[in-house]
Amino acid sequence: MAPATRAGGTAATSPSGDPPLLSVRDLAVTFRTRNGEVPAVREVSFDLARGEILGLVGESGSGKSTVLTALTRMLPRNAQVTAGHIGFDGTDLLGLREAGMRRLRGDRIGLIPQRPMTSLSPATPVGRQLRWHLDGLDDAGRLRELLGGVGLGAVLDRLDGYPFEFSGGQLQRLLIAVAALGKQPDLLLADEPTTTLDATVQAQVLRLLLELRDRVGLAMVFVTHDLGVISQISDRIGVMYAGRLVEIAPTRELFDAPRHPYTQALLEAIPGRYRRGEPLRTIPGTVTGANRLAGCPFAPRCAAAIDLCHEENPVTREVGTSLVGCHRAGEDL
Amino acid sequence: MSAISVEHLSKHYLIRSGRRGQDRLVHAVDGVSFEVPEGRTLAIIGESGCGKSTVARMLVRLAEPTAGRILVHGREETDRRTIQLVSQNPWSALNRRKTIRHALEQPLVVHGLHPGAAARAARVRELLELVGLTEDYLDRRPGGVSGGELQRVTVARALAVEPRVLVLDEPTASLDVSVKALLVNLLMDLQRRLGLSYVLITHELEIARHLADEVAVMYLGRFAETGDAEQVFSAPGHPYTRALLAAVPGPGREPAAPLQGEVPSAVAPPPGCRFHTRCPLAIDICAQTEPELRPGPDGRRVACLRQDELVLSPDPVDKETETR
Ligand SMILES: Nc1ncnc2c1ncn2[C@@H]1O[C@H](COP(=O)(O)OP(=O)(O)OP(=O)(O)O)[C@@H](O)[C@H]1O
Ligand SMILES: Nc1ncnc2c1ncn2[C@@H]1O[C@H](COP(=O)(O)OP(=O)(O)OP(=O)(O)O)[C@@H](O)[C@H]1O
Ligand SMILES: [Mg+2]
Ligand SMILES: [Mg+2]
Repeated sequence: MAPATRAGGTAATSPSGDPPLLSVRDLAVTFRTRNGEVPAVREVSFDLARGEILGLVGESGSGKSTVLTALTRMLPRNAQVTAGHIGFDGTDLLGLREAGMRRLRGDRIGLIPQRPMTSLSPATPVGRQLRWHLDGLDDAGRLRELLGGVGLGAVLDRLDGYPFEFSGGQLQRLLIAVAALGKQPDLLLADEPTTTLDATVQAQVLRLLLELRDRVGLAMVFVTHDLGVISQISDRIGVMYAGRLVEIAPTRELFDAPRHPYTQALLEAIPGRYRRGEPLRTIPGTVTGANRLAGCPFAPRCAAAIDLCHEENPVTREVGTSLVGCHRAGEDL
Repeated sequence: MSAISVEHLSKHYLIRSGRRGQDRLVHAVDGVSFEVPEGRTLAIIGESGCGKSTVARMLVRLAEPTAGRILVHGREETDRRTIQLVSQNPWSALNRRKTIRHALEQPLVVHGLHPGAAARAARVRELLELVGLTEDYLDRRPGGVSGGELQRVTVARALAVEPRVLVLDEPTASLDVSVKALLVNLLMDLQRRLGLSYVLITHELEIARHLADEVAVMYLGRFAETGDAEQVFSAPGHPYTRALLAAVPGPGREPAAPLQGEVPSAVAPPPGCRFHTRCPLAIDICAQTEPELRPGPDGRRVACLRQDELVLSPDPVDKETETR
């Protein structure tokens, strides 16, 4: 089930010559909290072509979910987009009126949120909520097809139940059925959509998403911590650290030749390579406070850091087919 | 004495009348038995919706068993401190109007641990540090932190009361590999130093393989296979276990073709072997006779009528690591 179109071109822009479906430039998002401002996303730029799948990985708290919610303009009230530009199929998303944005969310941009429970109403039967989101669901055949596609045929006769009557993975699949299959959007933003699924059901869902991409040209940003999953589904992979996109590269390239020291450390921490009971490798140090540093946010934990790294944040550079934000990118470390 | 001993545990949920106008039962858990020796780890793995969280909730008395018995350290009644749950859904486990400081201090207050504001504050700091967070987070509410940060708060909260047994329902699901490693190391360390016992529910088979002494493979409310973790992972016996292990993707490894057929409904579980509708090895008798968990020559127990014909073969995960 390898993706049909591995991206071949450079990492910054999409491989085809067509204008990208999604174009994000210098996106910055800040949260106000009691302890001051949290710059959760900074200077994030990437393009996405139609039918392309971009995987996003990165440290817990690095801003992945914030990027996705900013793209749908559903950030919480204490958040502010402080800079940047988001183009979606020629439309300036940040300048769009709320009504227009709502229309886009209705049928062209779908979101599978990280916390399935929060996007379902606890006091309304699940079946009724499905009908809110999808027209034409009174057609029993269509409902069977949607839910059967994500392995939920077994709960078809229980849809008058409330969300708490379903398992974590069942709820997550309901949302996948709505956002991906039901709406068939042009752009699907999927925030850890398979984390609560076992391997067999996960394989079924991934296959389905890839097939949807091949059939209707669905483009996708897919957030996950599972490097096995991301290697299967993505054309390109973006790596986030402390609010920044520190590396973005074609999938094969990222695994074969990780350029950023954080990416390298991430790949080394994969558990399958250790004996049972042996301590797993962590990346020493902590990310906390890194987004307020003057220099490179990874510098305090980086074995390759030099003085410059603590003073200046690196600009993103092209190395081979990768884009890397590291002062020492391209050097043999 | 075992930390946990469970006998013939079942949970059937009554659901209100549907279109057919009849109340029905969801057979979420159907007669499972297991033991967790003190200081050991049992991993429960299996298909989404097969009843793992229901077992977890019964262990900590958040759900009342329909039948069966649960003993914690040999007793049916235990105080809440002894056994703690890290819920699969951290979002619903915490009060979203209260701060994270409250979530961590409240159990200390309730159980009279670390009395005095200064001692409590110090303990809260220590707990946060264990899971890789800092005081920066204390005044935020659950809605104001990332998914993985919230998950770690619930782990810290469960540890706050110094339990003897932890039931961990997908504790590392939304953590990056480095923070995942931090948590795995923490769990191993606590077990080594304090002799904690764990029931670990996870879809991450590598984590299960790393932590578990024993593993139970669950399918549609029942155990399909139980045994020594290393044995089960390196040579899965039950056809469902094999399908599950074969479906794990990895960098450079294509997952096997997924299981054929629909997952059966827990309202009307299939007669005979519950897996027979999707089993590549099923024969006529599998649709009629329900297999019991039977011990095989290596001590591992498999619920399969064709158990004696099954040839144990190393799983693809092993082959992959050897050739790397
Ligand atoms: N509503 C909020 N108020 C204040 N800070 C917030 C809020 N939401 C998120 N944050 C902070 O912003 C940063 C980015 O959060 P985000 O949820 O985008 O991370 P993430 O990369 O999705 O992490 P995870 O992998 O753990 O889900 C984190 O440090 C988080 O604590
Ligand atoms: N309160 C309830 N009322 C009715 N049915 C329920 C209830 N809670 C769970 N169920 C059903 O019981 C079965 C087992 O659910 P459970 O949450 O234990 O599964 P799980 O193994 O934890 O799945 P997952 O891996 O997706 O979290 C599912 O079919 C679920 O829909
Ligand atoms: Mg997130
Ligand atoms: Mg569960």
